Amino acid sequence: MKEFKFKGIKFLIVVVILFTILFLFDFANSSLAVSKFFDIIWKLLPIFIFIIILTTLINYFLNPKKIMKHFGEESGKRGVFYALFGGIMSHGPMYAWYGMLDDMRKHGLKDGLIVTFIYARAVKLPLLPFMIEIFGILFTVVINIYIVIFAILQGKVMDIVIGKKLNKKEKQMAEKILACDNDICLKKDECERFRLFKAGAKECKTNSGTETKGCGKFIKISK
Amino acid sequence: MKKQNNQPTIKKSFFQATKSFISITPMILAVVGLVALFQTYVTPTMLSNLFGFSPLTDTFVGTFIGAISSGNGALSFVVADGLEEQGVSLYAISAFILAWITLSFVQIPAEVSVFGVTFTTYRNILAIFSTILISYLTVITIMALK
Repeated sequence: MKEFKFKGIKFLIVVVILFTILFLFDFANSSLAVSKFFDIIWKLLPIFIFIIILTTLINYFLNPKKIMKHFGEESGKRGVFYALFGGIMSHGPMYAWYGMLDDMRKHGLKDGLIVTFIYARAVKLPLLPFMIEIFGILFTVVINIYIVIFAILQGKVMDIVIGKKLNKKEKQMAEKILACDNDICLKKDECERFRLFKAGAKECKTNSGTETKGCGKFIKISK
Repeated sequence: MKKQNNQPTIKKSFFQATKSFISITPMILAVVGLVALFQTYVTPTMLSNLFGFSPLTDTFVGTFIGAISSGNGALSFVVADGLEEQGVSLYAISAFILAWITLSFVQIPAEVSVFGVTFTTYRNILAIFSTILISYLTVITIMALK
């Protein structure tokens, strides 16, 4: 079973220390901040529940191979469309979506599509009437069209930049080892062979590997 | 729907999703904590006082202020509306709104812990450049269309 690990513990400790210091020197404002903290959490609860349900559905309906097909290296324009659509339709703060994106990334979601998803979130559908009322329809339409264009461009640039970095490492690794496409193996997320498969390394074979016994060909992902 | 081989059960999928979400709760709590502190100590009036230079400087100020600010996107519109009434250029206002929505320095530690330093660095640099470019292109396009 994959080891469970909390993310952001150090960050949380720093924030708790910050609150403690502020409590000592500015009790009134820090109490107000604590009250705001609970207000925000309360408002976010429905979004958290929605994200858990959505992640459940993705885990259920989209296995790693399907994720690779729709959001991986070969996803093409369809992947960009899904990322744009998902970004525009998603609600709530970005950090609430990190868990789901991280899960999908481990199963082959391209970095470029994450970038497109994140930037496309700047198109705030529920706030459009409010934006039109304040800044006018022309400004609203023009800025949102540019947001969509730049969301796509950023994704493309990210893929080129990350791809170049990956290719250099991969060339060195691929000369030495074979990739492995065994998505049942529970060690796959930690294995360099599976990472190479996700990155589209040329030579590939399926090594076995189970929960209790590895395939014997496991290679830890290089830093 | 017919269940395929290797497809997890809905119960297992829910368990995985919940586990994945619980693993990022410290990060979410930390970000919400910082957002609460920011909303308590930094008021819209304080932000407005930072503008009022040349359009170019205001654009950079707008990008920076938007990036360090946090909160609901609607709040950025209200602040931007106030800035417009004060005569701040549309370049700066566009940059401010975009940076508020797309960049959030408060969230950077969380983004690093999930996606890593390389991804976070590239994404934020791309977003900063895009924000400045979009704000200029938006104003130029509006001027051309009017």
